[in-house]
Amino acid sequence: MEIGIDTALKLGADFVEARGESINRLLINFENDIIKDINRSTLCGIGFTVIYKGARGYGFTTSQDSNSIKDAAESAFKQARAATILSEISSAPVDYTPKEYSGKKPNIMKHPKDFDIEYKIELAKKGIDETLKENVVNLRAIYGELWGQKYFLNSEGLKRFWEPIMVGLFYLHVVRKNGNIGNSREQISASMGLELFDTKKPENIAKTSLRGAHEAAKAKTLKSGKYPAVADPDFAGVLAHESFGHLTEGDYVATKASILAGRLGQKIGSEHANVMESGDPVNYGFWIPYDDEGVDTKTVQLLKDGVLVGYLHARSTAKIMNMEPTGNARAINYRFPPIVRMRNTYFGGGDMSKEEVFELIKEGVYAEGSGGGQVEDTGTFTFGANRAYWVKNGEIRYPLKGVVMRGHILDFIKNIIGASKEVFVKTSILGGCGKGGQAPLPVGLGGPYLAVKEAIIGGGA
Amino acid sequence: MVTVNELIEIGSKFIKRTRDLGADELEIYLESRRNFSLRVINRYTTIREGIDAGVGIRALVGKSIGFVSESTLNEESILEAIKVAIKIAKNKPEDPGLSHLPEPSKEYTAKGIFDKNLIEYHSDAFANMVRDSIAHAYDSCQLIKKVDFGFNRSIIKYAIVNSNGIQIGDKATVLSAYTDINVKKDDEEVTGVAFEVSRSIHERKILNLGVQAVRNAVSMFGGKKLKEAITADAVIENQCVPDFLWPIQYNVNAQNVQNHRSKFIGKINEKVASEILTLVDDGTLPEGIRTVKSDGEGIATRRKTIIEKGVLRSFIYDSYTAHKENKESTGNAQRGSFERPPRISFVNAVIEHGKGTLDDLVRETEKGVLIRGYMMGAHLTDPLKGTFAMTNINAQYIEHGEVKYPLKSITVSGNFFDLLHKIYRVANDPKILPEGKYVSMIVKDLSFV
Repeated sequence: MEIGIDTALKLGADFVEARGESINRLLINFENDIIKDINRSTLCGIGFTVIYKGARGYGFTTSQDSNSIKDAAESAFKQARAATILSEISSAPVDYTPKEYSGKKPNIMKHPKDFDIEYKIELAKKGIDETLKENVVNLRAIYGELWGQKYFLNSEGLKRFWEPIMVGLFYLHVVRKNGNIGNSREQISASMGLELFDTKKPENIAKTSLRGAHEAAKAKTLKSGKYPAVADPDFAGVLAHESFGHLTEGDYVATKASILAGRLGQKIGSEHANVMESGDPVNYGFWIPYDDEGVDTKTVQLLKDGVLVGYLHARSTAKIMNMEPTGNARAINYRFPPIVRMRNTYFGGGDMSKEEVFELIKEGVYAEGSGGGQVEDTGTFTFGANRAYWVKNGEIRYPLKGVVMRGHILDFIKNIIGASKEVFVKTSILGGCGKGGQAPLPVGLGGPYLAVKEAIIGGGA
Repeated sequence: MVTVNELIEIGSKFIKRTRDLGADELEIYLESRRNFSLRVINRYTTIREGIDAGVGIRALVGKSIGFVSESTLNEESILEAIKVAIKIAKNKPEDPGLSHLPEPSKEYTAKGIFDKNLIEYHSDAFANMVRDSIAHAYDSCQLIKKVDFGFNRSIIKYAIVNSNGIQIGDKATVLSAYTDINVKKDDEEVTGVAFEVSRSIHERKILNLGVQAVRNAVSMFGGKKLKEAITADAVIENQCVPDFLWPIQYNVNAQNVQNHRSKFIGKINEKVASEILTLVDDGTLPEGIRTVKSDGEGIATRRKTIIEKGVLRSFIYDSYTAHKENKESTGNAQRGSFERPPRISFVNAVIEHGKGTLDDLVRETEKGVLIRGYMMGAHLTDPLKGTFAMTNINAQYIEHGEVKYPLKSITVSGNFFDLLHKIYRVANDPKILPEGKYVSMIVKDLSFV
């Protein structure tokens, strides 16, 4: 990487960054108790970012010989030079005084690289064997892992090295009972080794999914309308990332594409609305000690007691806005330069117990987990719940069918009336963020149990 | 960049050792891809270029197959990857449907997909072209609010070698450019899109792209909402047609047919669409974006009729599904990249053209909606049930053969299998798209909200 940096500097680059990485992924897919696919991939490459007269170019290669590396660095310089023809907004980095990451570090006891495929197959099978029962018409299970090394070096002499890791298990059950079909899913992933499954037992993950599928098969339809609601940490996390987080990303804010541009210091949510963004995995999130510009990842508070207090930045967007870099420059792999991306995004906890949060709801909906949806850059969202229930006097009464929550994120954060103390953040071996065609980038999502006084709920019709 | 012959050579070294390594059969897909990509969002520019190279390995042990991919052409790393693929095959349960990797085809005919001229272009030339295209757009309209311009060039070389004697490779070039422009007047903001994809470079088309998107956007000013739901004819611009017809590919995919996930099971030689529709999958189409000498398993790509005058003629197969029916593969195993195993899909879907232009179709329409530009929600169509509801933000209302006014975001819905029978007329305005070659068409009686 030093060779490449020298090459670009000699050509006249103002600033150069080099990223080297080798990432291994393994996915084992089951349909019922049969292995459908085992895919293993290794992506290994080097990329160079060059800043020349404020314009940015990027070059990459998968070959590790010194000629290919020089070519990639030279290409990055040429692309930066070509970009000067088009660029009017500077990509130059803001000054950064290096600090070490000070958050939680994973303590890996059972690294997946030290365990055979057979062991991982058996892990997933524990959940399958426990739940492949009568009425289950289809069961999907996936074991996944990701691990490797990341190296960083820039022309200012900043060096970083870290080893990303994640393991995860996913189950999906479809049941048919008395002619009714129901489905549900459950997954747990974390920046941990296989010791994750010593406490989060595969059997229990699968049982939660199966229970949800049975409930869905007998669930009642809810009339569409406005209802008070409780969101579980997973559902809250999807809103924190998809609807709120993207609006705080420095590139959208700096180009005024975000509706939150110019609103720093304004009260936009209720006093129970807090949103945090961090490279710290919290509990089951994705561990990111440094971003892809080598900046240490600190915890950034975006929303504090309803007031917008932060944006997310790469070094270039921080410079445009005269702010500090936050460690949010990320690239999905060596093929892409980093752009402003999220890490672990979650609603902050409150001072209530989970029970107290439910007691805030006389009659309403409890939404658990996300079943997908969509957002627009105006802040409008539509998300399905993975499981949903009718709540009366703080108690879960019966399951609901096909619940979809719609609305505008700014209305949602204004309507928050309570949050639990406990906060769960979870990453996923399957999905991730898809910004800018760089998908899926591992992120973490989460929050507390959140009560909102009103949400627009579409029923199962 | 490595040559195709060098790729074949690297792969062949391991094929010779198939048995020694512990596999019954072995296939190595090798790829080297040089990508140039430029994106300007407003005045914020990113340009990147690089070479991605890698292998996708399939190893057969008994009746099990293991797949591994790795971003390397390094021989030691390939050897390690092969060993892992064999280990995976040994760990998987037997698949009774699995037989052998394919054997070489007699003839590989596809050609004309590599543009020497295109590889001569440098980044500066592309950047200048994009700058000029954006400048033309600004010259043509003072109301531009946002410009998103993307431009990509790929130079792809690949080879497939297997232990049954396949040794084939090819090289190709692809250029794609799109722009998405927002224009704002008073409080009304409208969007227009334009794109081009081709095997070679046509500078004039790139230079016109910005102006074209502006024109499409400006034509949306003063858009009205439909007062009530209507049933009317849809005049669908060529580039929107794949959004309506993609479920054909799903239903003729032999894997879906064999897994009872197709509505076309048992329908060969039966009428599934209006007699106006003839659809050919042409793997040899010289201007086709997915044309290459062979498919992702090394079988020659070919031309086959899928629907002939409304009658279903053929499903599409890879070697695995063909073997199950004792047939020959149709050369439809496609690879997106070295990272994924081959999957069945069309190479280039080609709709047989009729007569006239899109304007002619509008003139012939008494009451209808012109669907063009930006479509949303096509991926939500249920390809088995056929239900679809898509939103179009560049539609226009047609009455008495004339475009009357633009329509604000309309949703067109219906059932795909009914739609096939309602195709009433096709034009002769073929456009090359990533999915194939499509013409504009009229579909009778669709619902609009």
